[in-house]
Amino acid sequence: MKDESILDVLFLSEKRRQILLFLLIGPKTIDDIKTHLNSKSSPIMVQIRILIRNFLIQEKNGVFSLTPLGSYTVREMKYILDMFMIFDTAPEYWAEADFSALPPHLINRIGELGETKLYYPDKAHIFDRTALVEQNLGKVESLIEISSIFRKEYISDFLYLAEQEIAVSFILTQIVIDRLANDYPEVYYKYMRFNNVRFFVCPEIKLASCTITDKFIAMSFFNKGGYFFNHDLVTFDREAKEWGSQMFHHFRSRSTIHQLQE
Amino acid sequence: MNSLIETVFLSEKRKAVLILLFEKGPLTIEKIKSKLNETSVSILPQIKVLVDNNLVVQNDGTYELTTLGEAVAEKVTPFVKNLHVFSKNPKFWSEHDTSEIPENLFNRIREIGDFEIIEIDLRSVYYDPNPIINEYIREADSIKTFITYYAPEYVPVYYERLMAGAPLSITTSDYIVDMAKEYRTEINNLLQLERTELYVCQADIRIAEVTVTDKMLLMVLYSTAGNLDYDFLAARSPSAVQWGNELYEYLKNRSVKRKEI
Repeated sequence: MKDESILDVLFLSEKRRQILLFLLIGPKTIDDIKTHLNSKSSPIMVQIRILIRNFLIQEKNGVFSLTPLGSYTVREMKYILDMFMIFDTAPEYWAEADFSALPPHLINRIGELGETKLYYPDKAHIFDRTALVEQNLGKVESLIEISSIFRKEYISDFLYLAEQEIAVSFILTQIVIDRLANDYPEVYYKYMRFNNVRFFVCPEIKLASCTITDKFIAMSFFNKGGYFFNHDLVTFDREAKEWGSQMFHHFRSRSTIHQLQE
Repeated sequence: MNSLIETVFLSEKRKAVLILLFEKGPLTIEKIKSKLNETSVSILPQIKVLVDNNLVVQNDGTYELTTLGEAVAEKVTPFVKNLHVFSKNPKFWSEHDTSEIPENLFNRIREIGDFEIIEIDLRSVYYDPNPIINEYIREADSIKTFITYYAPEYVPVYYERLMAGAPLSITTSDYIVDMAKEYRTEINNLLQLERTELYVCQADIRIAEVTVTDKMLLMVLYSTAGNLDYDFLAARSPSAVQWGNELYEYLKNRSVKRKEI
């Protein structure tokens, strides 16, 4: 079958993928391509000839560009590679994590998270928020917390941010709000008085928590057995912004505004 | 543990199993073998690689995708199926301007399924028998046509189908409407009919023609250089007709309804 040959063209050579991804930015000369790949022209010309023969790229006056077929193919290939990179970074983690808690359209776009890192606290800090998140929280200018678990930061770091007039949105389950209101009433009432803090109740949140800020996104999932191991999957990628805002809209649209409960 | 590229794309069989389980849900090994025309010896080692890489899990004698496998298969399947369609004539898809087809429809190009490219000899385009009209339009019981080039050869057959009771929806550019003004009275009379409608768009939409009948889809794209080369894409599957209807609706919605010209 012929379509296998297009897949082979894409996936059997790292060099061809690099050329194609480079051309996704725009048309390039052979010198641009050589410089970009840091390679001599003869091995590159071999790959370029294969790409032309398969109708993925075209040459005009010494400038190489993607054909319409190539544009579609390379764009989609990039989405696939972005997703694969996320999963390949921590394959055991993704095999165990119950990330079906994410809305399907955002699983499909998970590649947008870009470069992710997985952090586990050491034993001396096993119940603490991972140091990296803790350190960076102080620098954020906006904060959205989508969570089905009660975290200690809600009565410490998050409260401090709210006091600094940072915009904070909580999307929580009822039981987590109840815990806050019952066990830490002063904190709860303080939050309720702040104009820059909003509380939403969501009837169902299956992931453990997701902290979306203007600087980073940090997520944690339950594992497939329903257990929680303290960890953070973190991205600082600017490209992840849209994904984060889609997360907020997804859960916000399923939530109601929480009013002060006496 | 392999990279996902290796696991998914470096084996025909593994890719086929992933797509099969994505489309059909959990299957027994017997079903997998018969659907893919494989034997245990040929397919089990590949399924084991999928299991070892956490994409597939065995449960009560059936194989199913894990959450990870589901995410990967959902991403890969549409791409592989679209490439199937493109691969029937990659030259055509590399030489024609598809940028005007909205992304959500272009990403579902697999729905066109089997298609053929019919090259019309320009020297005979106005003379009977025009193969496109003969084979594709003569039998239509409904016609929707988006057209941005001057094609008088369609007029008799559209008139004939209209008189036979077929609804006719035309979306065309202001440029073509201007060219047709010398038949204003006749056209306005036909527009009085309940089953005719006319929409007019700006002339700069870069699709030459999309004609959808109840039975088939015809599409003519401009070349990347902007020329009309009369390569007709024709497809007859119900999903191609559905896809074509959506493309027609999209183009019609970018246009303005006119009761007369």
